[in-house]
Amino acid sequence: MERYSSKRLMKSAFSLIELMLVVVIIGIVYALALSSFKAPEKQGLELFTLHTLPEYLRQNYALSDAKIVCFEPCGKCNVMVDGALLEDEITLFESSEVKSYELDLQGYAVEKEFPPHDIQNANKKACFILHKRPNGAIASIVLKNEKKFIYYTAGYEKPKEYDNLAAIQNDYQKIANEIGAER
Amino acid sequence: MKRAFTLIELMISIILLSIIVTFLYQAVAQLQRSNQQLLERTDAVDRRENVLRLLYNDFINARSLSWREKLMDTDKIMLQTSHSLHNMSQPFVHYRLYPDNKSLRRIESPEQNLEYEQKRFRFDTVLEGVEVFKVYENRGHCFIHLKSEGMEAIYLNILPPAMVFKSAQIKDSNTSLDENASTPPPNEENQAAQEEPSGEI
Repeated sequence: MERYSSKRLMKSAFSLIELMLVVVIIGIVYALALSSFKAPEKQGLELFTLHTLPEYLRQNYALSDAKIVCFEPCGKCNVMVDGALLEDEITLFESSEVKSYELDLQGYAVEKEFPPHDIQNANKKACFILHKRPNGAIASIVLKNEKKFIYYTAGYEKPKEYDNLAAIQNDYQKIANEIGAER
Repeated sequence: MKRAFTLIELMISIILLSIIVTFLYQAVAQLQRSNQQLLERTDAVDRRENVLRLLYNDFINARSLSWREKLMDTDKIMLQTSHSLHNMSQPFVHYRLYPDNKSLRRIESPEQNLEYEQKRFRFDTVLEGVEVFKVYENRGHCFIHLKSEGMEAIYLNILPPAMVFKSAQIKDSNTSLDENASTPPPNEENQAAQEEPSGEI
Protein backbone atom coordinates (compact mmCIF):
# COMPACT_ATOMS: atom_id res chain seq x y z
CA MET A 1 0.00 0.00 0.00
CA GLU A 2 3.01 2.17 0.35
CA ARG A 3 3.17 2.45 -3.46
CA TYR A 4 -0.24 4.10 -3.78
CA SER A 5 0.16 6.63 -1.06
CA SER A 6 -1.86 9.75 -1.68
CA LYS A 7 1.23 11.85 -2.23
CA ARG A 8 2.47 9.63 -5.01
CA LEU A 9 -0.96 9.40 -6.57
CA MET A 10 -1.35 13.16 -6.75
CA LYS A 11 1.93 13.37 -8.54
CA SER A 12 1.31 10.86 -11.33
CA ALA A 13 -2.45 11.11 -12.07
CA PHE A 14 -4.38 13.59 -14.31
CA SER A 15 -7.08 15.72 -12.87
CA LEU A 16 -10.60 15.70 -14.29
CA ILE A 17 -10.09 19.20 -15.73
CA GLU A 18 -6.98 18.12 -17.63
CA LEU A 19 -8.71 15.08 -19.09
CA MET A 20 -11.73 17.13 -20.15
CA LEU A 21 -9.42 19.64 -21.82
CA VAL A 22 -7.75 16.89 -23.80
CA VAL A 23 -11.10 15.41 -24.86
CA VAL A 24 -12.35 18.84 -25.97
CA ILE A 25 -9.21 19.47 -28.03
CA ILE A 26 -9.56 16.06 -29.71
CA GLY A 27 -13.21 16.86 -30.42
CA ILE A 28 -12.34 20.18 -32.05
CA VAL A 29 -9.62 18.65 -34.24
CA TYR A 30 -11.96 15.87 -35.30
CA ALA A 31 -14.77 18.28 -36.12
CA LEU A 32 -12.42 20.41 -38.23
CA ALA A 33 -11.14 17.38 -40.11
CA LEU A 34 -14.65 16.13 -40.77
CA SER A 35 -15.99 19.47 -42.00
CA SER A 36 -13.09 20.01 -44.40
CA PHE A 37 -13.79 16.62 -45.90
CA LYS A 38 -17.52 17.04 -46.23
CA ALA A 39 -17.36 20.20 -48.32
CA PRO A 40 -17.17 18.87 -51.92
CA GLU A 41 -20.17 16.55 -51.80
CA LYS A 42 -23.88 17.52 -52.12
CA GLN A 43 -24.12 17.81 -55.84
CA GLY A 44 -26.63 16.16 -58.07
CA LEU A 45 -28.14 14.44 -55.08
CA GLU A 46 -30.88 16.93 -54.51
CA LEU A 47 -33.98 15.97 -56.40
CA PHE A 48 -35.77 19.23 -56.74
CA THR A 49 -33.66 22.24 -57.59
CA LEU A 50 -33.89 24.80 -60.37
CA HIS A 51 -31.23 22.84 -62.25
CA THR A 52 -33.05 19.52 -62.15
CA LEU A 53 -36.52 20.71 -63.16
CA PRO A 54 -36.37 19.39 -66.75
CA GLU A 55 -35.16 16.00 -65.54
CA TYR A 56 -37.89 15.98 -62.93
CA LEU A 57 -40.58 16.57 -65.55
CA ARG A 58 -39.07 14.04 -67.95
CA GLN A 59 -38.81 11.31 -65.37
CA ASN A 60 -42.16 11.77 -63.69
CA TYR A 61 -44.36 12.70 -66.63
CA ALA A 62 -42.50 10.99 -69.45
CA LEU A 63 -45.13 10.94 -72.16
CA SER A 64 -47.38 13.78 -71.02
CA ASP A 65 -47.45 17.45 -71.74
CA ALA A 66 -46.19 18.70 -68.38
CA LYS A 67 -45.53 22.19 -67.08
CA ILE A 68 -44.22 23.79 -63.95
CA VAL A 69 -46.29 26.93 -63.51
CA CYS A 70 -45.41 29.66 -61.05
CA PHE A 71 -48.20 32.16 -60.44
CA GLU A 72 -47.62 35.63 -59.08
CA PRO A 73 -46.41 36.33 -56.46
CA CYS A 74 -43.82 33.83 -57.49
CA GLY A 75 -42.88 31.92 -54.38
CA LYS A 76 -44.76 28.73 -55.04
CA CYS A 77 -45.29 26.71 -58.16
CA ASN A 78 -47.59 23.95 -59.31
CA VAL A 79 -47.19 21.11 -61.72
CA MET A 80 -49.66 20.97 -64.58
CA VAL A 81 -50.08 17.70 -66.43
CA ASP A 82 -52.04 17.62 -69.70
CA GLY A 83 -53.83 20.82 -68.77
CA ALA A 84 -54.80 19.77 -65.25
CA LEU A 85 -53.25 21.64 -62.35
CA LEU A 86 -52.00 19.41 -59.55
CA GLU A 87 -52.69 20.65 -56.05
CA ASP A 88 -49.35 20.15 -54.39
CA GLU A 89 -47.37 23.34 -54.22
CA ILE A 90 -43.64 23.41 -54.63
CA THR A 91 -41.45 26.13 -53.20
CA LEU A 92 -38.88 26.99 -55.83
CA PHE A 93 -37.83 30.55 -55.09
CA GLU A 94 -36.77 32.26 -51.92
CA SER A 95 -37.67 35.71 -53.15
CA SER A 96 -40.50 36.75 -55.45
CA GLU A 97 -38.10 38.51 -57.80
CA VAL A 98 -38.66 36.19 -60.74
CA LYS A 99 -38.70 37.00 -64.42
CA SER A 100 -38.73 34.97 -67.62
CA TYR A 101 -37.04 35.75 -70.90
CA GLU A 102 -37.03 34.17 -74.30
CA LEU A 103 -34.29 34.24 -76.90
CA ASP A 104 -35.51 35.32 -80.33
CA LEU A 105 -34.07 33.87 -83.52
CA GLN A 106 -31.33 36.49 -83.59
CA GLY A 107 -30.30 35.50 -80.09
CA TYR A 108 -31.65 38.55 -78.26
CA ALA A 109 -33.43 38.09 -74.97
CA VAL A 110 -37.00 39.35 -74.82
CA GLU A 111 -39.09 39.38 -71.69
CA LYS A 112 -41.68 36.66 -71.86
CA GLU A 113 -45.35 37.22 -71.16
CA PHE A 114 -47.32 34.03 -70.82
CA PRO A 115 -50.64 34.10 -72.66
CA PRO A 116 -53.68 32.85 -70.71
CA HIS A 117 -54.00 29.68 -72.76
CA ASP A 118 -50.67 28.57 -71.34
CA ILE A 119 -52.12 28.55 -67.85
CA GLN A 120 -55.84 28.13 -68.44
CA ASN A 121 -56.53 30.60 -65.69
CA ALA A 122 -57.14 34.11 -66.91
CA ASN A 123 -57.23 35.68 -63.46
CA LYS A 124 -53.76 34.65 -62.50
CA LYS A 125 -50.58 35.82 -64.11
CA ALA A 126 -47.63 33.48 -64.31
CA CYS A 127 -44.07 34.69 -63.99
CA PHE A 128 -42.42 31.42 -64.95
CA ILE A 129 -43.53 28.37 -66.89
CA LEU A 130 -41.31 25.47 -67.77
CA HIS A 131 -43.05 23.48 -70.46
CA LYS A 132 -42.08 19.93 -71.38
CA ARG A 133 -43.71 18.58 -74.51
CA PRO A 134 -44.68 14.91 -74.82
CA ASN A 135 -41.54 14.19 -76.87
CA GLY A 136 -39.30 15.36 -74.03
CA ALA A 137 -38.44 18.74 -75.52
CA ILE A 138 -38.44 21.79 -73.27
CA ALA A 139 -39.79 25.12 -74.47
CA SER A 140 -36.52 26.99 -74.13
CA ILE A 141 -36.63 29.80 -71.61
CA VAL A 142 -34.38 31.94 -69.45
CA LEU A 143 -35.26 32.32 -65.79
CA LYS A 144 -34.06 35.25 -63.73
CA ASN A 145 -33.99 34.67 -60.01
CA GLU A 146 -31.96 36.65 -57.48
CA LYS A 147 -29.50 38.05 -60.01
CA LYS A 148 -28.86 34.62 -61.48
CA PHE A 149 -29.98 33.61 -64.94
CA ILE A 150 -30.72 30.00 -65.75
CA TYR A 151 -31.03 29.05 -69.39
CA TYR A 152 -33.21 26.03 -70.11
CA THR A 153 -32.55 24.73 -73.61
CA ALA A 154 -34.90 22.62 -75.69
CA GLY A 155 -32.69 19.56 -75.96
CA TYR A 156 -31.25 17.35 -73.30
CA GLU A 157 -28.51 19.67 -72.18
CA LYS A 158 -28.34 20.53 -68.53
CA PRO A 159 -29.58 24.02 -67.66
CA LYS A 160 -26.76 26.55 -67.61
CA GLU A 161 -26.31 29.31 -65.10
CA TYR A 162 -25.21 32.81 -66.11
CA ASP A 163 -24.59 36.10 -64.34
CA ASN A 164 -26.23 38.34 -66.91
CA LEU A 165 -28.31 38.25 -70.07
CA ALA A 166 -25.47 39.51 -72.24
CA ALA A 167 -23.48 36.36 -71.56
CA ILE A 168 -26.37 34.17 -72.70
CA GLN A 169 -26.84 36.24 -75.84
CA ASN A 170 -23.12 36.11 -76.59
CA ASP A 171 -23.00 32.35 -76.22
CA TYR A 172 -26.06 31.91 -78.44
CA GLN A 173 -24.92 34.31 -81.12
CA LYS A 174 -21.42 32.87 -81.20
CA ILE A 175 -22.70 29.39 -82.01
CA ALA A 176 -25.37 30.72 -84.37
CA ASN A 177 -22.73 32.63 -86.33
CA GLU A 178 -20.53 29.55 -86.42
CA ILE A 179 -23.39 27.51 -87.86
CA GLY A 180 -24.46 30.22 -90.30
CA ALA A 181 -20.94 30.86 -91.52
CA GLU A 182 -20.29 27.25 -92.31
CA ARG A 183 -23.32 26.53 -94.49
CA MET B 1 -7.99 5.76 -2.34
CA LYS B 2 -8.81 4.63 -5.85
CA ARG B 3 -6.10 4.08 -8.38
CA ALA B 4 -5.82 6.80 -11.09
CA PHE B 5 -4.83 6.36 -14.78
CA THR B 6 -1.20 6.80 -15.57
CA LEU B 7 0.13 8.73 -18.55
CA ILE B 8 1.03 5.50 -20.34
CA GLU B 9 -2.47 4.12 -19.99
CA LEU B 10 -4.02 7.31 -21.31
CA MET B 11 -1.66 7.42 -24.27
CA ILE B 12 -2.46 3.83 -25.14
CA SER B 13 -6.18 4.54 -25.03
CA ILE B 14 -5.78 7.62 -27.21
CA ILE B 15 -3.71 5.69 -29.76
CA LEU B 16 -6.33 2.93 -29.87
CA LEU B 17 -9.03 5.53 -30.28
CA SER B 18 -7.18 7.24 -33.13
CA ILE B 19 -6.70 3.93 -34.92
CA ILE B 20 -10.41 3.22 -34.70
CA VAL B 21 -11.23 6.72 -35.94
CA THR B 22 -8.92 6.41 -38.95
CA PHE B 23 -10.66 3.19 -39.95
CA LEU B 24 -14.05 4.81 -39.59
CA TYR B 25 -12.86 7.80 -41.56
CA GLN B 26 -11.64 5.57 -44.37
CA ALA B 27 -14.93 3.74 -44.47
CA VAL B 28 -16.88 6.98 -44.78
CA ALA B 29 -14.51 8.32 -47.43
CA GLN B 30 -14.86 5.12 -49.42
CA LEU B 31 -18.62 5.35 -49.19
CA GLN B 32 -18.63 8.89 -50.49
CA ARG B 33 -16.26 8.06 -53.32
CA SER B 34 -18.41 5.18 -54.48
CA ASN B 35 -21.47 7.38 -54.17
CA GLN B 36 -19.84 9.97 -56.41
CA GLN B 37 -18.88 7.32 -58.94
CA LEU B 38 -22.40 5.98 -58.95
CA LEU B 39 -23.75 9.45 -59.61
CA GLU B 40 -21.37 9.91 -62.51
CA ARG B 41 -22.33 6.55 -63.95
CA THR B 42 -26.06 7.16 -63.71
CA ASP B 43 -25.49 10.56 -65.23
CA ALA B 44 -23.69 8.98 -68.19
CA VAL B 45 -26.42 6.37 -68.60
CA ASP B 46 -29.07 9.10 -68.51
CA ARG B 47 -27.19 11.11 -71.11
CA ARG B 48 -26.89 8.07 -73.37
CA GLU B 49 -30.58 7.34 -72.98
CA ASN B 50 -31.48 10.90 -73.92
CA VAL B 51 -29.26 10.90 -76.99
CA LEU B 52 -30.70 7.56 -78.07
CA ARG B 53 -34.23 8.86 -77.68
CA LEU B 54 -33.46 11.98 -79.68
CA LEU B 55 -31.74 10.11 -82.52
CA TYR B 56 -34.45 7.48 -82.63
CA ASN B 57 -37.29 10.02 -82.75
CA ASP B 58 -35.55 12.04 -85.44
CA PHE B 59 -34.72 9.11 -87.67
CA ILE B 60 -37.85 7.04 -87.27
CA ASN B 61 -39.91 10.04 -88.38
CA ALA B 62 -37.51 10.99 -91.17
CA ARG B 63 -38.79 11.53 -94.68
CA SER B 64 -35.52 12.16 -96.42
CA LEU B 65 -31.88 11.90 -95.54
CA SER B 66 -28.82 13.39 -97.13
CA TRP B 67 -25.26 13.82 -96.05
CA ARG B 68 -21.86 15.07 -96.90
CA GLU B 69 -19.40 12.32 -96.49
CA LYS B 70 -16.24 12.86 -94.53
CA LEU B 71 -15.38 16.45 -95.06
CA MET B 72 -12.37 17.26 -92.93
CA ASP B 73 -13.31 14.43 -90.63
CA THR B 74 -16.70 15.92 -90.05
CA ASP B 75 -19.91 14.19 -90.75
CA LYS B 76 -22.86 16.31 -91.64
CA ILE B 77 -26.28 14.82 -91.92
CA MET B 78 -29.46 16.51 -92.96
CA LEU B 79 -32.87 14.97 -92.64
CA GLN B 80 -36.41 16.13 -92.96
CA THR B 81 -38.44 14.75 -90.12
CA SER B 82 -41.72 15.26 -88.35
CA HIS B 83 -40.03 15.22 -84.96
CA SER B 84 -39.25 18.66 -83.60
CA LEU B 85 -37.74 19.98 -80.41
CA HIS B 86 -38.75 23.56 -81.22
CA ASN B 87 -42.35 23.12 -82.24
CA MET B 88 -41.68 23.44 -85.97
CA SER B 89 -43.69 21.41 -88.42
CA GLN B 90 -41.69 19.16 -90.73
CA PRO B 91 -38.35 20.79 -89.92
CA PHE B 92 -35.05 20.12 -91.59
CA VAL B 93 -32.69 18.75 -89.00
CA HIS B 94 -28.94 18.99 -89.44
CA TYR B 95 -26.54 16.98 -87.35
CA ARG B 96 -23.05 18.38 -87.32
CA LEU B 97 -19.97 17.28 -85.49
CA TYR B 98 -17.62 20.12 -84.68
CA PRO B 99 -14.11 18.74 -84.47
CA ASP B 100 -12.66 21.73 -82.56
CA ASN B 101 -14.63 21.17 -79.40
CA LYS B 102 -15.93 17.70 -80.30
CA SER B 103 -19.51 18.74 -79.83
CA LEU B 104 -22.36 17.24 -81.78
CA ARG B 105 -24.97 19.84 -82.58
CA ARG B 106 -28.48 19.43 -83.82
CA ILE B 107 -29.77 22.32 -85.86
CA GLU B 108 -33.43 22.63 -86.63
CA SER B 109 -34.66 24.87 -89.39
CA PRO B 110 -37.86 25.37 -91.37
CA GLU B 111 -35.76 25.64 -94.53
CA GLN B 112 -33.27 23.36 -96.09
CA ASN B 113 -30.50 25.93 -96.08
CA LEU B 114 -29.21 27.51 -92.94
CA GLU B 115 -29.35 31.12 -94.03
CA TYR B 116 -26.71 33.16 -92.32
CA GLU B 117 -28.51 36.50 -92.54
CA GLN B 118 -31.95 35.32 -91.68
CA LYS B 119 -31.05 32.85 -88.97
CA ARG B 120 -34.32 31.03 -88.79
CA PHE B 121 -32.78 27.99 -87.20
CA ARG B 122 -32.57 26.79 -83.62
CA PHE B 123 -29.75 24.64 -82.34
CA ASP B 124 -29.00 22.30 -79.47
CA THR B 125 -25.83 20.64 -78.32
CA VAL B 126 -26.61 16.95 -78.29
CA LEU B 127 -23.37 15.70 -76.79
CA GLU B 128 -19.89 16.89 -75.88
CA GLY B 129 -16.68 14.96 -76.32
CA VAL B 130 -17.88 13.10 -79.40
CA GLU B 131 -15.23 11.08 -81.20
CA VAL B 132 -17.22 9.41 -83.95
CA PHE B 133 -20.54 10.29 -85.48
CA LYS B 134 -21.44 8.48 -88.66
CA VAL B 135 -24.67 7.65 -90.38
CA TYR B 136 -24.80 4.94 -93.02
CA GLU B 137 -27.67 3.90 -95.21
CA ASN B 138 -28.35 0.55 -96.78
CA ARG B 139 -31.58 -0.69 -98.34
CA GLY B 140 -33.74 1.67 -96.36
CA HIS B 141 -31.98 1.06 -93.05
CA CYS B 142 -30.22 3.88 -91.31
CA PHE B 143 -27.26 2.79 -89.24
CA ILE B 144 -25.94 5.29 -86.72
CA HIS B 145 -22.59 5.01 -84.98
CA LEU B 146 -21.89 7.43 -82.17
CA LYS B 147 -18.89 7.22 -79.90
CA SER B 148 -18.21 9.62 -77.10
CA GLU B 149 -15.86 9.95 -74.14
CA GLY B 150 -17.05 8.26 -70.99
CA MET B 151 -20.07 6.73 -72.65
CA GLU B 152 -20.82 3.34 -74.08
CA ALA B 153 -20.84 3.59 -77.88
CA ILE B 154 -24.20 3.79 -79.62
CA TYR B 155 -25.00 1.55 -82.57
CA LEU B 156 -28.49 2.22 -83.78
CA ASN B 157 -30.24 0.54 -86.67
CA ILE B 158 -33.45 2.23 -87.74
CA LEU B 159 -35.84 1.56 -90.59
CA PRO B 160 -37.78 4.77 -91.13
CA PRO B 161 -41.14 3.86 -92.67
CA ALA B 162 -41.68 7.13 -94.55
CA MET B 163 -38.14 7.62 -95.81
CA VAL B 164 -37.51 8.39 -99.46
CA PHE B 165 -34.01 7.36 -100.39
CA LYS B 166 -34.15 8.78 -103.86
CA SER B 167 -33.42 12.22 -102.47
CA ALA B 168 -30.02 13.56 -103.34
CA GLN B 169 -27.05 12.32 -101.39
CA ILE B 170 -24.81 15.25 -100.90
CA LYS B 171 -21.24 14.34 -101.63
CA ASP B 172 -19.51 17.56 -102.50
CA SER B 173 -19.42 20.34 -100.01
CA ASN B 174 -19.55 23.32 -102.37
CA THR B 175 -22.23 22.37 -104.78
CA SER B 176 -24.20 20.21 -102.44
CA LEU B 177 -26.68 22.45 -100.77
CA ASP B 178 -27.37 24.70 -103.75
CA GLU B 179 -27.86 21.72 -105.96
CA ASN B 180 -30.18 20.23 -103.46
CA ALA B 181 -32.07 23.45 -103.11
CA SER B 182 -32.63 23.78 -106.85
CA THR B 183 -34.43 20.47 -106.97
CA PRO B 184 -37.82 20.90 -105.33
CA PRO B 185 -38.23 19.18 -101.98
CA PRO B 186 -39.65 15.74 -102.64
CA ASN B 187 -43.00 16.31 -101.03
CA GLU B 188 -45.00 14.42 -103.57
CA GLU B 189 -42.62 11.52 -103.43
CA ASN B 190 -42.88 11.59 -99.68
CA GLN B 191 -46.60 11.40 -99.76
CA ALA B 192 -46.51 8.58 -102.24
CA ALA B 193 -44.07 6.69 -100.07
CA GLN B 194 -46.17 7.27 -97.02
CA GLU B 195 -49.29 5.97 -98.63
CA GLU B 196 -47.61 2.86 -99.87
CA PRO B 197 -47.11 1.07 -96.54
CA SER B 198 -50.53 2.11 -95.26
CA GLY B 199 -52.06 0.57 -98.38
CA GLU B 200 -50.34 -2.69 -97.64
CA ILE B 201 -51.69 -2.76 -94.13
